[in-house]
Amino acid sequence: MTDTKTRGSISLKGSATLVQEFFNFGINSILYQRGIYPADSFRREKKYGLTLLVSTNPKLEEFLNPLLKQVESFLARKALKKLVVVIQEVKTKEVIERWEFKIETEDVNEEGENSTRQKDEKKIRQEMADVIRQITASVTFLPLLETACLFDVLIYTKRDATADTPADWTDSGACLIKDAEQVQLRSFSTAIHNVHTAVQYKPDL
Amino acid sequence: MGDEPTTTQPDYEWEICRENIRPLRSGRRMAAIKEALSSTTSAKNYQDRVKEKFEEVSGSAAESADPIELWLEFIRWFDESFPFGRQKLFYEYLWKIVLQYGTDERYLNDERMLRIWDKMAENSLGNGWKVYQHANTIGSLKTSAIFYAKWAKCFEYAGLITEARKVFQRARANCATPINLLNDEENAMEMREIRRVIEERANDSWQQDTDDMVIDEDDKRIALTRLQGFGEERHAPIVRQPHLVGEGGSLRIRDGQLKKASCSAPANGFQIFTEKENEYEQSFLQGVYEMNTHIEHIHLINPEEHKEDVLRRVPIKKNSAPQSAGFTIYDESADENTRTTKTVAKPKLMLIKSMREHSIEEVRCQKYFEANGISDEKIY
Repeated sequence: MTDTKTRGSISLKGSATLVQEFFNFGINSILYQRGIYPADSFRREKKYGLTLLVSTNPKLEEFLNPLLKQVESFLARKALKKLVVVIQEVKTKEVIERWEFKIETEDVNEEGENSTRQKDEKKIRQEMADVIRQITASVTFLPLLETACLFDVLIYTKRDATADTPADWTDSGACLIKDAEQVQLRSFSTAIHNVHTAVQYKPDL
Repeated sequence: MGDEPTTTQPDYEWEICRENIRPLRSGRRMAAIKEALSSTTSAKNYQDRVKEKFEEVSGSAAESADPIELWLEFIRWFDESFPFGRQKLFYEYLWKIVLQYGTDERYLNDERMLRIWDKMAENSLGNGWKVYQHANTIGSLKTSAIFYAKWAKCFEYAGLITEARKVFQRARANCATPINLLNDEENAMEMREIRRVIEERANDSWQQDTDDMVIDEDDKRIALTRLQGFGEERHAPIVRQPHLVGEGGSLRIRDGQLKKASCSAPANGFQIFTEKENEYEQSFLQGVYEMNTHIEHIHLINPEEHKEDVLRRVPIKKNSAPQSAGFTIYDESADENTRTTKTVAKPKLMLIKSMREHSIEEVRCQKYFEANGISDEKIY
């Protein structure tokens, strides 16, 4: 083994793009694995060395695309603290699953000095792949969703970021699950954004 | 190695063993999975453990006013202790529970029994609907809509949609409640079925399209080797049946409506057999013989009448025996052939005979003198 390593510089904006891309594939993977949308409404796409499933539902794309664009904007301004995918029963609106992506942002400037960090992009993508793989493997312990379910995305931001939130966004509760079981999944880091993943659910034992 | 994650491996041991962990409808607690993965119980030990636990619960249940709760606790314990399944063993113990409490009047309409029936169905290796059927036969949960919904789902997953519908009919006949749940479940099932049918039709039409595509491709297939081109663009035929395959595998209808390609066509160089086309029009199987060996040709055609053609075909088919070809091509008549054989055989016999009295040199000298009319006396 040699000491030489491939290293690359990553900026706040570049990191935001990478993380936003991860959220896109992460959310789609959750929606597929948990059966929120029919399996035949997903197409296969190669990413992070994995074959991932991405929804082809136009309504879903209409919902996710602007949301992820806004998320990228928050990430690039170090304003995003948490992104949560909430799964609820359609009938009762009871929250039965909660996927939490907690974001920690390093102290970097948007431009100029101290605006970049060193980390190989390949390494970042590998870490992202590990998280996605765990999302896929989570069906091992998660309960089967036998009733029709819906999903929502909660965005936790810093207070000073609320000024430019889209008009169609509304305040929401935390949608917590009482007596939930929580499983901490792998984390990844872009050297600027550290993303910690966890899933909360209610085992029906 | 500063970039290496500091996450300890044991935290994600479940991920490594995920293929072996049997997912449950109810989900699993991660702590229980970790505990089960860390234990090193042997096959003998786990059976003893289950037996011991069962006896323990049996003892407690005998004294309990509500034994079913204890048995549900036993089921939870089993699920958590053996994440790898142990379905057969589990089924045996569930059966013991059901035998004891399935017909107990206290629990006939107790929906907690559904949990036991569900577990039995889950561990019945694809015979879930039989479990629900048995439960229904013995009168358990006869008026529970959710029981019928689960029973119908078993049939649905087995692809027995008609049976699933009958289950809903039975539920209505037995006045199962809540009726809304029953209606919703039935509607959902019908929606799923419609979706399945649409998908199947889409798949079928896709298959049809694929087949059409293949035919289209075949239609434009270029004639190769022995195939005779057909039409102006000299494409090979789509369907080749024996009665449609003519000389050299070419397309040629027997009544002669479709004529063979001209000899100048570049698609097929095997035009040698087309000189006398009428000779093959007697047989339906001419194509088959064409495709196979020349031996059948010989039988098909009278060798005396078509001797010349048969001989000509031999080298083209490349099936003839090369040993015989060497003699027949270069010899002018059969008599000569016989004579050559005799002259070869004679010296061998003579040599052997003369070797008994003289040496080879002596015999050769003698033969030389005889041929030239020289007397041996003159030499000696």
